[in-house]
Amino acid sequence: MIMKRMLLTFSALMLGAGATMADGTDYLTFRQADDSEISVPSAGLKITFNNGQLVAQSAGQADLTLPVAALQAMFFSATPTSIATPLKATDITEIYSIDGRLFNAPGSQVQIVKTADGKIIKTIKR
Amino acid sequence: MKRLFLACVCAFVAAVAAQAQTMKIHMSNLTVAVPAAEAGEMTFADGQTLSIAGVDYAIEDIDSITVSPETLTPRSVELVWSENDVFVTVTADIVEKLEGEIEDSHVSFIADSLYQEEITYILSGTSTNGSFTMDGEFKSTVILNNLTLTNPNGPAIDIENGKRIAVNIPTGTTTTLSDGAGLLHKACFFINGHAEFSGGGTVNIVGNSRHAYASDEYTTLEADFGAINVTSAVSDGLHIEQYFKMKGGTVNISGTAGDGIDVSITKDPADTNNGQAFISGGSLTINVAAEDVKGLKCDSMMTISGGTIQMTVSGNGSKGISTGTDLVISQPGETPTSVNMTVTGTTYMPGDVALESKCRGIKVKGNFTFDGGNISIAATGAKSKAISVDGDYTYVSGSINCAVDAANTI
Repeated sequence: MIMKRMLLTFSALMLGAGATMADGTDYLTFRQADDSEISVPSAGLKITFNNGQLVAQSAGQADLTLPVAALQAMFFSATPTSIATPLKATDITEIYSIDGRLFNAPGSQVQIVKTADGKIIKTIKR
Repeated sequence: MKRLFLACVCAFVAAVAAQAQTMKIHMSNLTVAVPAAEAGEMTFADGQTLSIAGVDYAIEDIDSITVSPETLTPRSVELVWSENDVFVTVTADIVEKLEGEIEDSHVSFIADSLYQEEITYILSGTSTNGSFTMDGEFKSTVILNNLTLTNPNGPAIDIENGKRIAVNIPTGTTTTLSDGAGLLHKACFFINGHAEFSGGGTVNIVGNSRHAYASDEYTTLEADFGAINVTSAVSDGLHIEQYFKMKGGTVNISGTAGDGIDVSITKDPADTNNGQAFISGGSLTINVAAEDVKGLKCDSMMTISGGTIQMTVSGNGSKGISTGTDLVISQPGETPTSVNMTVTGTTYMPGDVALESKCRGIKVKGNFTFDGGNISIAATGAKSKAISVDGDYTYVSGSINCAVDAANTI
């Protein structure tokens, strides 16, 4: 019985381990000149440099393009960055509810803030 | 249940190990590999330079940076030959300790003389015009992993490092080396230091200029070793200084114009086991067809305490086994000791006082002690002899089918 319990615990542990990199390198985070940080999943990541731009491609993600001159550093981490890119009001083009209705639409409980390239910046639950 | 639990533990360990990630910086034929967990903060400077683990890379030199779930051997250099190229991956921990040069498929590395850590070189791929040269002041490991390398302009592998070189040939792999003809280099596969061969794979060597293989210090074949095949050499098959120790494996030598295996005394007479040969296991097959050469020769003593030696001695004036001093053949344990020869050669340069040489199965310049095992020699060549001993012959035990011509029999 004890062995069975150990085995179950172990299986659960294995499932947990499988979900993340053992060495805490699940994300690569770029820190820019304005101290803002942006993370991309590191699995299968490919970075190229072209015309002063860094292009990061990860499986199942949109390409991330950053000007090299504006980069301070990059580093691996177990979690994505919590420091969001500071947004100017003009960066936000639309605010939709989760069901596709415009912000302030009647009955909307959740809003999503999107930038012009479709990136989700924030999800707001009321 | 216990078995299941252990299997689970193994699977978990494997799963964790497989999760380690490596970041690779690709720059033309060179890739630098950094364990992602050790990359730390990688800084950009002026949009021109990226500094990773203390090494600065010009961004314009970087083709790409990739991250993949793999774990590389620390302090290692992986070389993969293609026909006209060689692709090199160096782990970041030694990238500043190595000076390298890549020219088409020819590559050379010199390790910092002050660097006191072992570097592992892993060689694979195929090229008909490539080579590997390596130097350093500290012991190294060279893994030959399905490498096929021909260098028409010199040796295929030239290891100038004078320390211990562990040569590993992984089980199930075959490496084939060939060099250029009419050149001055010592061997197709040369090791300046002392070589220890292990791994169950096979290495085939052809020596088109001089020796097929040579080491300037001792060479050991470990008990788990696979095989060395020499099919042709302008001079010796294996030319070894200091001593040769064969604990296992298979050595097949044919087509040599010189000796099959030649073990020479070094310039320093104080060197351990200087000029000696030790065979304690494995299988040694040598075809001695050239004139006035030896199958297995050493300048000093030879000890055969196991293994199977099979020789065909057809060259006039040639010898199957030749020792500079004493020979001991014994069977101390269960490992069978077997010496089998057919000797069909006759006399080389008969009547020439300086050059005349008679054909012998075994020629002992010192004393010969036989204490176990089986000796079977058929000497049919005119004026040939199975065994000729300049000193004393002492029989203790064992099976022998031929006469021993000795100055004194005890």
